Amino acid sequence: MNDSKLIGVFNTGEAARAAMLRLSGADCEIFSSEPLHSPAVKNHLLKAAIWGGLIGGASGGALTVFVFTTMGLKTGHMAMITLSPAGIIVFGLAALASIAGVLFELLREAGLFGGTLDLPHSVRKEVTHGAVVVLVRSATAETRQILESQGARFVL
Amino acid sequence: MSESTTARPALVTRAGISNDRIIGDLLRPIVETGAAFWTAIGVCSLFMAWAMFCWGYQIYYGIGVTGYNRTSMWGLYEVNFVFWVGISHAGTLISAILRVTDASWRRPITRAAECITVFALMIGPMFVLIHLGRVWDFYWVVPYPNSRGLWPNFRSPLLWDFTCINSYLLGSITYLYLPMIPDLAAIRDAAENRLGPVRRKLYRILSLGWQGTSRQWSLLERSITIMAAIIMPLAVSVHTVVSWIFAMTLQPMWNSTIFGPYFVVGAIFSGIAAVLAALYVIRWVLHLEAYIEPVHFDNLGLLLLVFSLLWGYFTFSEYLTPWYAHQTAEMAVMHHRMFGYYAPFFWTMLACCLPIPLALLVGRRTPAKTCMASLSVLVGMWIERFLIVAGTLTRPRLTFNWHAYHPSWVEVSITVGAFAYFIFLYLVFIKFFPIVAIWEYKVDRGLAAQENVS
Repeated sequence: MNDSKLIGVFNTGEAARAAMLRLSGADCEIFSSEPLHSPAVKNHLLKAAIWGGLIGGASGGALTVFVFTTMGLKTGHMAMITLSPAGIIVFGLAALASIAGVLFELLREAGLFGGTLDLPHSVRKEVTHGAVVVLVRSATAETRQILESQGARFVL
Repeated sequence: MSESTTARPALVTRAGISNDRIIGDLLRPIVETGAAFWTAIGVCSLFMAWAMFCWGYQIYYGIGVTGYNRTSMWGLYEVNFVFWVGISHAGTLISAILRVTDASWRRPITRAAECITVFALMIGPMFVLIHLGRVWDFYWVVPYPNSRGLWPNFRSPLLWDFTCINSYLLGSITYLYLPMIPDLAAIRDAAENRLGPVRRKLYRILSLGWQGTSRQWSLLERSITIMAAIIMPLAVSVHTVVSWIFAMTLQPMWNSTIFGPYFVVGAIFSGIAAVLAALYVIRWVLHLEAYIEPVHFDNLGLLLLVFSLLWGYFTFSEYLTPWYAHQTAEMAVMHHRMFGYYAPFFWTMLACCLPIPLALLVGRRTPAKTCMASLSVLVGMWIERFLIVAGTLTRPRLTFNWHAYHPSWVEVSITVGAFAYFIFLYLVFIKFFPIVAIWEYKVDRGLAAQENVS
């Protein structure tokens, strides 16, 4: 682990958040085993859902139109490209692609693709058992003091 | 970097519940395996093996070994298909509705419900394959330019079904998996030294790079909400399209404009019943009384009661209109179902889906009472699907084709095998994944504690 990194392990979310406030400006992150209802982060999930839906829908539409025009069915009085069946295929593929879009964007934005973990196993185990951890990436001389003064059970 | 660790105190959640206790209780089924588990797996495997033998027998001797005939070209396999696809509305749809409406009590039960969806969707469409006879030609329905130079017909409701069910299955798997990522990370970190190397690797892969940063939590919650909104219309479309397989024919009592909503209501109705029954068994077998509480049975029981009345209303409408029109072909089917050969089934269905649940669910809804009501509904809804399929096909428009349909031992065996397969899948899931969402339970208790304080 980089020497400028410090990890403060707190017993409560309140104490960890108080430490985060004191460290405002520093490159730090909070880790917990349940959402701490911090302000929502800016994201592109909705955009990914909409774009996914549009691409999926367009693909579904293209597929049905292509199939209807190449099958050479004898349709009697029916139109060659029937809207309602096309609509169902378009809808199904749009929904699926939309879900895929959200999933992909979540994995990308949340940094879940690489599987790289910032915390050592012992600290992750603490988080699982309810501890709240503050990771300071660019720790200064007084960072440890701040973490300890805010009630960190231990600092690594 | 210096290290000054201290012994970990017993940390409590915002609701004052010990984290160690929650982790211990909810991960116990994963790290400990009792004899009862292996016994249940063994019994299920026996039924599944017998069903597999029957399927093989059917493939070898042909579809003639079933009770199918010239007019009853659909039978028990289609009944099971519709029933299981209906059950699949249990989890994802109910969970999505409760999530979007912010019903916080849902949190501990959503996973138990969501996995029902995935398993039911794995089983239901399997019956279409079984009915195919030549199952190896299944891929002909997949829309790609195959060796015969043919494309499947998109005007066929069967192909709509293929699209919707596959979209719903893939969406439901994603919707089940996303909220599970933090719990998989919890297993990875908390129970690592109690698991074998294969399972350790499995959890490491499945939990991706989850660490529980505030950014990850925020993104996860947002994506689950968006997905819930997408998956609801998808779920409704699935059973609507299943109903159209029937309604778009000119068969008496099938060609109905309300078949779509009627099927959706029936699906949610049977889905809630399946969730309740599963919750009751899980709670009892895994001793999760502290997590799956009477309030969950009470709320879901109320939902079941509402859907029982809705189903009653739709059934009434479905029978009243043809009766008033009094068309010969439709009256023959109706008479056949209500007073003829299938009368015992019809009245059992009605009793199971209306008076019995009403009697059990009006008033105090205890876990035992809601479980009994849900079992009754499940039986009733299976019979309803049977009456829809067999009731109509045995009374076609041309009277010289009238006959009775008797499922053969092959069909019955495969049906029983499917139920065993469902239980088997559920048991395996419980063995590998926490059936109560750990983080959602903590959030739920935290919110409850906050409400109590305020």
